[in-house]
Amino acid sequence: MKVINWVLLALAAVSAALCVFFGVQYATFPQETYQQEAASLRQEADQVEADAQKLEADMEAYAQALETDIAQAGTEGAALAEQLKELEARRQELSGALAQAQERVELDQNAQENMLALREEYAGKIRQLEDMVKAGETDVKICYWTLDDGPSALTEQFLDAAKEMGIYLTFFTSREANESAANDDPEVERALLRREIAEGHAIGNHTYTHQYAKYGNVYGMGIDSFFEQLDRQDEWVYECTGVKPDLFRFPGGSAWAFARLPQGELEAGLQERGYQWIDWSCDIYDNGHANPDAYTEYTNAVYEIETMDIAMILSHDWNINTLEAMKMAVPKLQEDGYVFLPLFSQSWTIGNTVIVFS
Amino acid sequence: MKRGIVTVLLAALLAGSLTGALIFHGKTARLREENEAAVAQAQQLLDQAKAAYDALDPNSAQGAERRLEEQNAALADAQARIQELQGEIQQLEEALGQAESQAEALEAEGDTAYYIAAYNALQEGMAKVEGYIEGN
Repeated sequence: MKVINWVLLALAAVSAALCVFFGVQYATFPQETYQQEAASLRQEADQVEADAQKLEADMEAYAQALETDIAQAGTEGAALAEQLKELEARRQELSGALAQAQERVELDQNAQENMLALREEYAGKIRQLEDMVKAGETDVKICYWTLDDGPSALTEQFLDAAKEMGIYLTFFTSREANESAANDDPEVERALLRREIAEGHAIGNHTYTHQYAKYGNVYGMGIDSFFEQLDRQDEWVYECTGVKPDLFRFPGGSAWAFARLPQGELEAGLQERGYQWIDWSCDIYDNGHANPDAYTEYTNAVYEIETMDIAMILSHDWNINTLEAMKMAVPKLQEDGYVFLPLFSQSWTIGNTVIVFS
Repeated sequence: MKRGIVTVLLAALLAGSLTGALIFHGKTARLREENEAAVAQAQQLLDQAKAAYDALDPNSAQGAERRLEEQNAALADAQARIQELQGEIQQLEEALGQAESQAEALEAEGDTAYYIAAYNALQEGMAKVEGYIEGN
């Protein structure tokens, strides 16, 4: 054989051996091992990532916990937390106090309007109670103790007694009806009217001069003169108290007035002026002529109204016996279930009160 | 002629073997490269995950530092809130003083004091009537 062929044979043998070698190497390459290692590493990475996410969540929870309660941040945090608590409490306290002070200012700035609005609301509540009384829905009975012709020298004592007994009265006022001491000092009169309102009582109109005053018969001078007397009293009460009265009582009662002046014109004039008129249901006869003693007046009060669930007493706050009678009658009537309230024009008694003559 | 055929056959065998060897070598190299890359990538994922973990682990320097940063941030917020509250309190105290002075000035006026007394008396009376209505 030629030399070239021997060389080719040798090279071919080497090549073939290499080909087999590399072929076996390729066929037996440990791919599975590499894949398993990569999978194991990825699995471990997933686990570590999950642990890291848990740590992240813990860190966020820690941050939120610090936001909610800084005391968790060690000694310094505890001190700041205490300071924050004190400051928050002080802020809330001041906010509450400021709200109250502002409410107080608002009430003060609108004191008259607020007072008049509350009177309306109060009158409505009393009417609600009256309706319950008439419907038999309560054991409470109502007594309106009215006093005519003041303010007088004794009015202050009536107010003191009412305050002590915790009751409310209604004063049908007439500036010139009484010639006793209180009338002579306008400041005293004004102070008495104001005290009547300031202590929760009611005020009505009983004309400026009253029927029997020195200026003459209030009905005998004609209807215009009568309304002039009413208007003067209306203005005087408003000027003194800031409250316009809307209840009127005819001097001597409606029977006396209607006997002397046209009822229709009288009632129309009153309505035009925003008034309701009222008589009474029980007279304790303290008006001058008979001049009963205190005990007689007391019995008149107690026994005349004993069948009434809503009663209205006529009396006069210039009579000292009346003061004593009231002090005896009120506790007795309270025992019998009566409460003593101020009279307003929303009352059921308007148009429903009949004078009981005993 | 016989020697020529042998030469050609041997040459062909050499060429074929060489080609096969080269092909198998190349394929093996590529296979190794791919698999080693896959393992390297998985290792890199693991390393990244470990780095992220270390940054959060409170037992590590990085994690402890981050925790401290959170704490300091919260303390700073609390300080700021304290200053804010102190400012609010000061404003409230001033406003309260003004409101109380205004109320006192109004109540010193005779008419206001009178109307307030009347208002309070009406409230007291109304409370009693509400009590009667409720059956007390």
